[in-house]
Amino acid sequence: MDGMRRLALVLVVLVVAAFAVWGCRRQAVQESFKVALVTPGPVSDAGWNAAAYAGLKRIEKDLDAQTAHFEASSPAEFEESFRDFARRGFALVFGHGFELQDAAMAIGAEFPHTDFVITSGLATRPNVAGLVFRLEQAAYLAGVLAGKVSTSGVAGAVGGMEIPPVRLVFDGFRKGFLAARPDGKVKEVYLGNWEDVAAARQATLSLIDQGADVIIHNADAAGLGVFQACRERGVLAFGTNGDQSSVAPDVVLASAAMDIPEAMVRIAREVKAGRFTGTVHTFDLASGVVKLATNPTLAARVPKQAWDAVAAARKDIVSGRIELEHFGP
Amino acid sequence: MSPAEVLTAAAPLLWAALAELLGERAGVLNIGIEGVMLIGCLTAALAATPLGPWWGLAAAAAAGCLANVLFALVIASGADQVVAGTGMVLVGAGLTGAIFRSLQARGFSGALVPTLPWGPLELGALALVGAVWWFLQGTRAGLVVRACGENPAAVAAAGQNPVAVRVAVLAVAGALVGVGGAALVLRASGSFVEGMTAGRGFLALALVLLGRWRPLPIAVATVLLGAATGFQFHLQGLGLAGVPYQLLLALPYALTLAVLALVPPSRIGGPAALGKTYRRQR
Repeated sequence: MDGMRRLALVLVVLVVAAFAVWGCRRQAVQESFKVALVTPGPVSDAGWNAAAYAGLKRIEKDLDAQTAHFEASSPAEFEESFRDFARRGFALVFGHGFELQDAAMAIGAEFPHTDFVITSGLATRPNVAGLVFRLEQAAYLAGVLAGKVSTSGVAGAVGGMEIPPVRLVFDGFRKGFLAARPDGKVKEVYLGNWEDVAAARQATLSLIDQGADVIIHNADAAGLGVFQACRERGVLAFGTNGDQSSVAPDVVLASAAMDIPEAMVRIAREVKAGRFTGTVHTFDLASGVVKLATNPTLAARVPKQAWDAVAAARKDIVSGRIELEHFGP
Repeated sequence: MSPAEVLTAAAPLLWAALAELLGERAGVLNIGIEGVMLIGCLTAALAATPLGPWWGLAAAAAAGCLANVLFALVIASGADQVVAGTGMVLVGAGLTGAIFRSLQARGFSGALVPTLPWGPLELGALALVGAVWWFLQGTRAGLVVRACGENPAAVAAAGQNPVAVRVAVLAVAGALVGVGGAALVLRASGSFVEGMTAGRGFLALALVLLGRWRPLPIAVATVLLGAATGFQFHLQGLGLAGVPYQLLLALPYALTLAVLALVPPSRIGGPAALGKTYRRQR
């Protein structure tokens, strides 16, 4: 009996050892490029976090990387997840939002062999970089286009809350609109939240009642209510952050869009090639990551002269002749 | 903002507030209507997208009824109303969020939900004000409901079953809340978004309290709130220099509170048995 037990013990030890050796060998063979993403919210939001997740999946495919995602539900988990990924040998960790910046600076100092990239981040170290999108440039182009298609000369802007990213986009839009329509006017309304679609519709109707015949929104999910009001009154709308043409193909003429996945792939490529720099990486119109995405079904209705004005404005922004207030350096 | 649009904005809240009033007059404090309303919203959007808005409306009423009956059965078993109601809020928000996310992955965006024409939901809400008033004050069944809210033991002593009355009232109220959710989707926005009720369920609770459990003051306050919200957006659009938009957003609530403070109290406090657990005496 005792001998049987000893034999069983030896067998167990042998099996465990075999697995351990096999595991180590596996790891040695697959010393692959490991990329992680930490989001401050669920990636099913069809917006901010979903875009980052799409970026991670593209990195997995395009760069043949091993990827991992963590949804941090509290700020305490920012540092914890960063440290965990760094310890597990990830070469690159994305923190998707300004709020993850402090955690990246702290953990970046502890783990110099992992590069951290913070979306909307401004603080840098040799292994911590920021990603900044100059969305206000695309908003300026949307403003120029809006000014050219507006007959009343009044534009409306519906925002969720007046936070810097929203204000900068509206300021860019206003400058573009006034450049195309010097006698024009842009009216702004804020909802106080990001999900009250009914309030967004009501606010948009009240702007249309005040003469607005082009509307831009920056209200995240509540933007659907803006599109609904535009649909009911036959008014053109402009989307933000992503290409929203498919969300409301009958009213969205164009969107001030940023291609977050593309920016992430570019950074990952630099890391993989060993060319990473701990700076703020700015993506503007010239980079192609930020752009005015037009809706092909409605674009035909716009006169050529309006598109020429947009192209001219784009050239002026890229050449630096038109400068806009923006986030970061 | 035209009177028609004011009614469109106010209708979802009016359906919900009148439903809450019915429940409270029967002695049930249903703080879960925010959750039930969200269930109504998602059901309306899901049914209306393939079948058309009228089916959306019917499905939302049925889903609201079902959700509230579940709540009614939980409190009939002796659970605390506030705890069960809080659970309902969480269940409604969590369930609709989870279902919406899984459908989103399969292509349901929540945009472009077919809508109803102006009329049925707005005028229906106004008609409901009169109907609820008439039911509570002018019918025998209304008397029994009110008695359940004041003294359920006396109702039981008179040979009726207060638990059954409450379940029945909550079933009807649930259907009305569902319709309120449908009004939000099929009239007031044409879309579904996670958390789109944005606190209207809780606002309905406050309106019932401030309207002192009477249909007419509740209705006046609700419509006033809708009108003031529209007016406030108009003021924001005019761009009053130096006035922060947060202040303008708060204006409708301050105004409603001020008006309701002027309503003469006809009674002190709410129904006497409101919020109290009732168990059948053996």
